Amino acid sequence: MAKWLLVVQILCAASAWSQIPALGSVEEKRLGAISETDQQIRTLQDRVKQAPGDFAEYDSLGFAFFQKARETGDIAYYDLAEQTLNKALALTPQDFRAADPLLHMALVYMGEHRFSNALAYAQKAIGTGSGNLSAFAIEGDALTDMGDYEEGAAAYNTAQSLGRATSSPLAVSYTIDSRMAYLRFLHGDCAEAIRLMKSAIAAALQANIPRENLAWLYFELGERYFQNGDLGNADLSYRSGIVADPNHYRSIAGLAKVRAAQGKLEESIQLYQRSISIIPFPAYVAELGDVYTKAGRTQEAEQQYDLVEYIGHLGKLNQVLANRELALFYADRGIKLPEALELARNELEVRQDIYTWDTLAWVLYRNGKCQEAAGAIEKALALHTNDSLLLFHAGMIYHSLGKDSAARDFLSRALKTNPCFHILQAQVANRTLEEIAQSHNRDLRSDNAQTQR
Amino acid sequence: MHKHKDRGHHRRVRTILLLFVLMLSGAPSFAHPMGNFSINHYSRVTIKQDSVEVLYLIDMAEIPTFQETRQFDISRAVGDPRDSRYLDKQEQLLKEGLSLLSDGQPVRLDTQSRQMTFADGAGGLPTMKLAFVFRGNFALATGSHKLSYSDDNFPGRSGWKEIVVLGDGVVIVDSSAPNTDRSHELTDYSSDALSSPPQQVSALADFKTSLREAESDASTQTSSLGMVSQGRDSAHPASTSTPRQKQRPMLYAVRPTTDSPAANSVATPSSHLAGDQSASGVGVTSSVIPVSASAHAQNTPRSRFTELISTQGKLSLWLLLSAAFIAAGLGALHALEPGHGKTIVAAYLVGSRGTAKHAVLLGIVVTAAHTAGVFLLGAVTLYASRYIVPEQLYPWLGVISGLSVAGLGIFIFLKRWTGETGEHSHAAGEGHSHWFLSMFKQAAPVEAANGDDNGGGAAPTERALSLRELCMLGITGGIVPCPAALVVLLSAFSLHRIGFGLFLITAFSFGLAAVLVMVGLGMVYTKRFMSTRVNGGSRVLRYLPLLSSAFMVVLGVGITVSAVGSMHLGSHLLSRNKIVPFATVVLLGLFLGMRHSTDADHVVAVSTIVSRQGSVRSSATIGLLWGLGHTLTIFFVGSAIIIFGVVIPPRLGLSMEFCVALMLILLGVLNLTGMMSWVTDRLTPAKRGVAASSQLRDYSCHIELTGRKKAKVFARVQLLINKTIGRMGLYQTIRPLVVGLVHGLAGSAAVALLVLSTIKSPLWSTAYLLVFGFGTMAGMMLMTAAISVPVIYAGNKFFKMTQHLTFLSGLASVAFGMFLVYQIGFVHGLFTAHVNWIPQ
Repeated sequence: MAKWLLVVQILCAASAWSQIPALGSVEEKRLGAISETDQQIRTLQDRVKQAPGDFAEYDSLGFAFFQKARETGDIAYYDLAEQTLNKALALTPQDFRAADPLLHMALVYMGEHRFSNALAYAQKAIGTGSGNLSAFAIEGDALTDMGDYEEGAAAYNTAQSLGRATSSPLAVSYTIDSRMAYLRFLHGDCAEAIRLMKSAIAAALQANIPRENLAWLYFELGERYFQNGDLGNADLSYRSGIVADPNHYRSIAGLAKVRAAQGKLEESIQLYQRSISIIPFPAYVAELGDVYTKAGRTQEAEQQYDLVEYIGHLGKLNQVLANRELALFYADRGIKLPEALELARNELEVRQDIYTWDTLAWVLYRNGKCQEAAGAIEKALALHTNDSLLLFHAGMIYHSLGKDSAARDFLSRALKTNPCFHILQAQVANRTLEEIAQSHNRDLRSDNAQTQR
Repeated sequence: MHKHKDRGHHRRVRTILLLFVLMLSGAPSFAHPMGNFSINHYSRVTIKQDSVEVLYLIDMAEIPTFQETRQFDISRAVGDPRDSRYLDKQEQLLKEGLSLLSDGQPVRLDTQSRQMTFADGAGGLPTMKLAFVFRGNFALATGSHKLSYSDDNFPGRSGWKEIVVLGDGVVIVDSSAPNTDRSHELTDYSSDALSSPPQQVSALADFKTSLREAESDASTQTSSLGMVSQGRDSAHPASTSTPRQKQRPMLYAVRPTTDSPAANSVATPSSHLAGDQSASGVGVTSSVIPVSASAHAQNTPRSRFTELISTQGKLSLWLLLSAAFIAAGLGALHALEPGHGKTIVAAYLVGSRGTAKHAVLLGIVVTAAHTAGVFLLGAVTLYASRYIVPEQLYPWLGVISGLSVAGLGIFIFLKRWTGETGEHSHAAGEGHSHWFLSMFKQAAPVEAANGDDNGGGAAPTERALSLRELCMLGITGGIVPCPAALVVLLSAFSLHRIGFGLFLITAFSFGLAAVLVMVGLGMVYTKRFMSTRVNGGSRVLRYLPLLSSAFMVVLGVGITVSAVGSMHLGSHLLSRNKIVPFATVVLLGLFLGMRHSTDADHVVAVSTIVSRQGSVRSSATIGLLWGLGHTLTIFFVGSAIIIFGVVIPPRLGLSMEFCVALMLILLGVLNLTGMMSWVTDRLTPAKRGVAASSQLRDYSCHIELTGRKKAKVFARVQLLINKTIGRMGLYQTIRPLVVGLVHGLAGSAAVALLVLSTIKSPLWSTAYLLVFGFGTMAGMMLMTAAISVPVIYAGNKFFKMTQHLTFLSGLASVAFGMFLVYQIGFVHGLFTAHVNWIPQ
């Protein structure tokens, strides 16, 4: 009897072990062959050529281009998507059938960070009366990204109640839960965010969604875990994202971040390089530079930092969608500070969400305008988000203003939430806390000395 | 074929317009197209007799260029040793990423030459282009081989990835990569929505080597870049292979930018290229890969027929005869294909008092008309092509012929309906009047249908008419020429073999006519056969012609519609977008009606009625009523969906389908338990006696005598309805109506959505719902009538068989109903929490 139990146990363990995707096999799963999005594009192009009056085919083609833009980060595909969707909209009748092309257009605008346009189109889609869940969801996204959190939540709630009446729980779960998760995280409730994210992933696994979208969900879950300080689960989530889509540069960068936090710097460097070889996203290039710095390879670090500057230079010419990341980079490195301020203010005009306020606050702080920075960081913390980076920035700003008790509070909270929230800044936080403690002790001692006298 | 050309032309115009709009509206693109971090690939694989050459280009955008220059410290100065070291390294890396397999065996690639160029991109920032020429040798036997090429460099990186496969001294039979260079060696990145950047990273090609040397000596001497020569195809008389010019070996070009290209090229000349390259690097012209055009004989329609005109050799008598024979045979085959009015001929001959003579005459007329049509069209093509485009004539011919066929059908139908022709008696029991034809006779007195025989008066007019009808039918049936015949004519002209061409076309038309004549004769003899076998079967002989003329009408309408649809009329109303769905919708309705006519309960009802009344008309009426109920529901529910945008929640939709399933089960059970027949028996009135029908006849006479035409028609209709319902009883009238209503519930959502998806405006969509409804009615009627005919013949002799039939259909109904319940309940989730309804 015991023998059988043992066998069963071994089998269970083996199956559980095999579920965890090994990193090595993940390495080998590079994609050289033509991706499914490319195949879809080709099929749809043929169909459009055969039936040039069919708006539905144009709509599908536009959406396929949008997917490709998401996967490759190539803004040329956003342009193609826009063209095709404009064509589709010209052909579509002005009724509920126009909902899909309008929504896809809204998505393209979201991708290009043209939030007010995206909102307008999402609202138009709602106005067609199609009862499409995604219309409300995208409206909520646009509002959330612009900083109107209340209205965004309202839109998501509408979507949820509508979905309960007209659609399957699966669809509702997949569409709405991931977005609610983000909102919950913003309001400081990490546990609920993680739960909702997991439910969204469960729903997504049953639906036949594109690889990149599933990987994105895993990436988001990984981010929530990481921000909570849970490195083990974050590791697993990012790896699942890579399994879902081996070319998902964000998941790869996320895993690299976890490796760096775990102290495995060589692996982290390799992973960052892999992510950058797919899309050189400035934030990840900067993170690679930081890892090099931590590892003591200053020359290579410089190369990466120069690359980020280079991308920023191109950004002026080509409206690259990384204003915030570049502003933060300049602020962190202490270079091009006025330019950083301009970038941050430009971004604030487009969207007033907490992360843009945070960027502005940090840039102002580095520019020496600490009072303004305090005002900005207050706005960034309006929702009581439990994001270590936000708390760290707040702590540093209040410290520069002399408000040490508040600074100590924020810095310790940052370290408590995630002790390795940033490979270089975590140290700064620790040092600053020590400084505060020392100066506090000094003050106490001097007070005591005074009272004793 | 002309339709195909139209579509292609249309597509080309659209692409050009799109590009034009792009050009006008696009923001000036300073930057590297395809994004600042893209890495673009280009591979040109040239397959030769004994080797494969790969021209491999990598074009890096600003960001990767920066990364590479920083990482490897490239200086961009000419002759810098660091640069050639970098080039070495890259050559190694990139070559490793390429894999070339010939018949499954890996081919080792050796570098022939390599080059590195820089050009300015966005804001003056540099971009880098690497070029390599790799060569792999192999020894292949003569015959077919496979080549497989794949490029695994920079996977996942966005960029333009193009592969071109060419043959030099070998014939490429099939290839997954094109042989045209879209980007002109990465110098032109134009793309639009319909031709987005290629993402090809692998290619498979089948090629054939041959014993001939075919310019291979020359090709090995000169450089391996950009050389293409056209291999000659095997002798195809219609194709002429144009000799290709030998291209000078050219270097790839530096991409033109808005700034003057500050190109510093670092070149490592190989031993082969001595003296051939213009290595200073500035403003090098690009090489254009000529498009290799092989003749596609497959595109010509009926190629066997068209090949006849181009047979070589002298035209001996033997050749003439055999050609004529072949042409006639091809014409006969062509006639057997759908679409040359055989059905029309058959329908006509059944409908009219057709004799063998008529059939032969019809055939001759068709031949003459067809030949004339071909000649006419040929003349237009040759001489009047500046004024009239032949492709525009086709649809008009189609419309004319369709309209005349439909008109003729209606004419015959009405004639039949009012009992004007054919052997019939004015005996008691079949009251009718010749009101239709009487409309044509101006001063003729109103016929009194009380027993006088008016056959003599009608006969002479009739014969003359039928001859006219015949000629008209023949002409309109044959006037639309086949494209193949037209091609033969035109080739005859161009090959200066006009006589032979005419001869062939006549033979072709003869073959066509022969088939039609045989079909017609077949119809005539079958009718005769039937009329001798079935006695007192004036009923069948009466209604078959009606059916056939109705069929003619439908066909005529169909031909007209499709001809109009291919006309590209600019008018919004008659645009192709409306006509094609119109035809689809009608056909769909027809088929749906026909399908439902095989439902169990319907079969039972029909068989009961028919065995009682022995009247095809009653069963047709049942079908009509079913169709009416179906149409009503679909119209109301569908227009609610379309006009008011009512959204049917999934549960409701599934419940509706569930009702249908329940009904099917119920009806099946009733059938099986014999209740159905019992109920039907009881509620269907028995055959009326003679007295009753004479009473009706008197009534109709009375109406006739009142005199006014309008009242007559109206009264006739009323009489008809009374007669029908009276015969069948209220039950039999209401039941199919209700069943049709319920069936309509299930399908209305689906139909509404189908119609909506093809038609834009709500008003038209609602109209099409009606059209669809009429289609279902027609289909149901026709099919029901068709089903009832054998039942009439079976009569009492095969009563047992009909009993078994009804039993089987009852069983099938129950089974199908239960399957539907399972599907609706569990698969689509009506009984569970997850409702998943997609209207089918």
